[in-house]
Amino acid sequence: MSDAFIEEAFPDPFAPMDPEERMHLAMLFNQYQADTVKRLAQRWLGRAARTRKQECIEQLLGVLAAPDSLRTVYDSLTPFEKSGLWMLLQRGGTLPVLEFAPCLLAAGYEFSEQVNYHSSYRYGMSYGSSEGYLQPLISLEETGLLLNISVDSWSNSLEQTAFVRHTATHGVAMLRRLLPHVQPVPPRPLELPPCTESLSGEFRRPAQAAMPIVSLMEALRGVGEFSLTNKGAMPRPFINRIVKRLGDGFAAESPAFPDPAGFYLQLLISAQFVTLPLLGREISLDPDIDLLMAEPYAVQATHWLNGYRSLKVWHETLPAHVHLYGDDLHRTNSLHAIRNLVVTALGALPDPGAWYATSAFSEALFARTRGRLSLGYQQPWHPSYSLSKAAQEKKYAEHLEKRRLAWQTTEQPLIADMLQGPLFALGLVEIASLSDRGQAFRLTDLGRSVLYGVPLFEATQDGGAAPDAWIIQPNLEVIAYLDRARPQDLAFLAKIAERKSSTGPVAVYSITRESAYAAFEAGFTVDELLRGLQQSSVRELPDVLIRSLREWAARRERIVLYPQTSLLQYADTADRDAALPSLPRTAQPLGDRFVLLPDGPPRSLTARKEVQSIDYAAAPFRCVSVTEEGHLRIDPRRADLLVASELGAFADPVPGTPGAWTLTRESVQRAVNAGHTAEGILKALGTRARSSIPPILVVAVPRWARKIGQPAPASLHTLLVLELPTEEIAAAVEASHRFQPLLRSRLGPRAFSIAPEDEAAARRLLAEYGLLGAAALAPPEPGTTPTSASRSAAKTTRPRSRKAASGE
Amino acid sequence: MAQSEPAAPLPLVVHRHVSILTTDDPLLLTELKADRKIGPLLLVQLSDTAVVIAPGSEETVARHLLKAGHLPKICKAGV
Repeated sequence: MSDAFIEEAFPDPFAPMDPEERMHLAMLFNQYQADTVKRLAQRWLGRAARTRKQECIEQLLGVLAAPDSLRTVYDSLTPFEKSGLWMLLQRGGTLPVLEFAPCLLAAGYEFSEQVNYHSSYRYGMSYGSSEGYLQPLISLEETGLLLNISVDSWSNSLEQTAFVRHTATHGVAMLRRLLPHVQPVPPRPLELPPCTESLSGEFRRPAQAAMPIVSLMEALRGVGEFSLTNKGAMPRPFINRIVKRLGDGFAAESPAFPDPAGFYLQLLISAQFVTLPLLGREISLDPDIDLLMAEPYAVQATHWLNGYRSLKVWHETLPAHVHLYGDDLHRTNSLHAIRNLVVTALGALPDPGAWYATSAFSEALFARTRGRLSLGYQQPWHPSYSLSKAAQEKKYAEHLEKRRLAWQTTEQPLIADMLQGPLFALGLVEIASLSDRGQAFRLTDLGRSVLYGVPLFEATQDGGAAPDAWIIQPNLEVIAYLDRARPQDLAFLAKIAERKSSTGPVAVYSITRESAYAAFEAGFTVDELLRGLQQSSVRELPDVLIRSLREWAARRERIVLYPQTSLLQYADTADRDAALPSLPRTAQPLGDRFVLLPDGPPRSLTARKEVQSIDYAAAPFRCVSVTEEGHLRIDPRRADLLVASELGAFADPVPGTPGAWTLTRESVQRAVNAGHTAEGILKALGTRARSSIPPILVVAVPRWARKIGQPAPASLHTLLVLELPTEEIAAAVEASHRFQPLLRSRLGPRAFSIAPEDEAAARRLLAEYGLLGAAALAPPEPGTTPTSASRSAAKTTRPRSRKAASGE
Repeated sequence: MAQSEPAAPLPLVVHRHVSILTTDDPLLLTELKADRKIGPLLLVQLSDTAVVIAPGSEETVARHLLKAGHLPKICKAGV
């Protein structure tokens, strides 16, 4: 049984431990080795710990069942351990190892370097080495307060299993009973001097940062279905459709921020706002997405930042010598480790409001991690015990310096790109250039709000009056002021208008027929749209806008499409009209015998025995008999609404005989001219025929359709037969290049066929080679007896003609 | 859902998962039937303002209607 599964079954950390939970936790501890259990008991209980495994387990269970005891255990933890648990709690209590371990390093607290050989081996660390970036995680695991789980990279979820196979698929979860006791422990400030230069930078306002995400959500709503590729990725045509809906100016691309559309799409998936279809075809949006999009920017930005930390498939521009292969991009990888390191370190700045040089920040990260982390492979450090302590320290310093230089080449450019790419785009950092051409950054108000809890001033608080967030012009363009637009304003605009461009604090949208239609389809009434637009408008709405929206709304009622609906068919109008009062109120009479039921038929109706049910989602009824002559007859007892029109596409109705049709050359050619194919006609007929289509029709239909590429039609010919006396002579004639052009085909060991028009040439050659008497040079007259001279070594025979057969 | 197979015509037939298009004006339906892209997809006329459309062609019909300048209302409901 897996660790975390036990926890999931009993999610309430405040509830008293009942016997079932106690039993499951006992099973968890029983999975551990005896010395591990004893070590835990000593850790939690000190001298009171027993020495036998089962007794220790009983003691551990007693601690977990008693909140005060558990609180005592928590209070005894080191600052490093408390900080680690706090960071894990902030991320929801579970994290992949590759994301969590760098956070522990970045927090900057001292942890135990004692080597746990068992854990080192499990994490694939060099035997005996405590140097890897996973060492702080191993140290935290010694508290016994973490569980092992397996990461499912495809569904982006953490699944429960007891078996750890690979670091990339390994995660940790906190014991839930510990949750109420965990207190905030921020990371230790970095040793990082601020910039002394006076700087002026570029940044994105919260609304500017939110806009692409909101636009993308609306584009995803309308883009339709798709199927994942074989590798589980989104197909390129689907992404192109989204980008097209988003329009030009969706997001500027740069070397630090490649493929913005791909970034935002993966961000929404990583933040679990959007779920990819594993089995179906429709992309699923979080049902609460409209509520999420209306949350304060600081709340939304926290989701984005956590999404960025775990984001897969999309990646920053990698250094030339670093490679991530196809499958790596779908799993937690070393990029996630660097991202989490950077984001955690941004929460450890000495002064959250100051400017910092990116290079100095990078050096500070290297120092904080003691060079343990890298995008690629790192040569592990093994002390050489034959050297003196001073010599070892010198060797280690040289090793560390090599790593630092490698860090400057590999990780530092990536850190710079993370700051000026995704983190800038999310509105969390401001970027400026230094006089020495380097880059500097500082947190924006939004960044400080997310990472340090500093309240963010937003234009209006919830419940206040709507701000004057836009002006609507007579040409139906909406000029939106991003420094005043609330999250719900942006979300509303994205539903009703198409974004055209954005420059600094202003974005331009356009209300079009298509965008209004999408809003109506989303459930808005015209009055709701007008009310929403007026609420945040600087001035009164233009008359042309009101008129246009009302006209488009009216036009929408002119044509109504009912996909996959239900229809009742009565015997006649009287029956239909008599039944109407007993049908649901949404029932609509159609024509003389039909009733449309948009909400489906009532069960009482479908349960009746005298009711026939036809389901057009199932295979169609085989109700057509087909003869060799092309006569088609529909069985009226089995016919559905569509069969007559299907036959009418390629057959002609028989006048005066309902349900009878004929398939002819003319009807097939008419169908082909209308765009049908012979294969399509045969397939359509095949799905309706009660038995197999007569083979002669299967052969005829393509010929009637004048299909190119079919074998040539059958034909009748008159041939001469050249019969030679021996096989040797026949072989000689066949090998002769003078005879070869005349020989049509081999009929037997001594016979060939010759075309009538070649008879004269054949006779000359035969005579030349003494194979034919001179008298037999000319073709014999019909009815004459050949002379003895013509009965020579060779003879040509003409198949009997009708005249010869008639004795003329 | 399984098809039921009666021996004789029944007074009531329930057609399920069938796609219907209705207009508010017979002339509009005539105009749609004359459209060379939309017309072939309108299979069976139930009345002067209602027609059964080809199964599986709902999205195509909606798309062609939009391209032709119409604004069809799409009513998705239980069947």
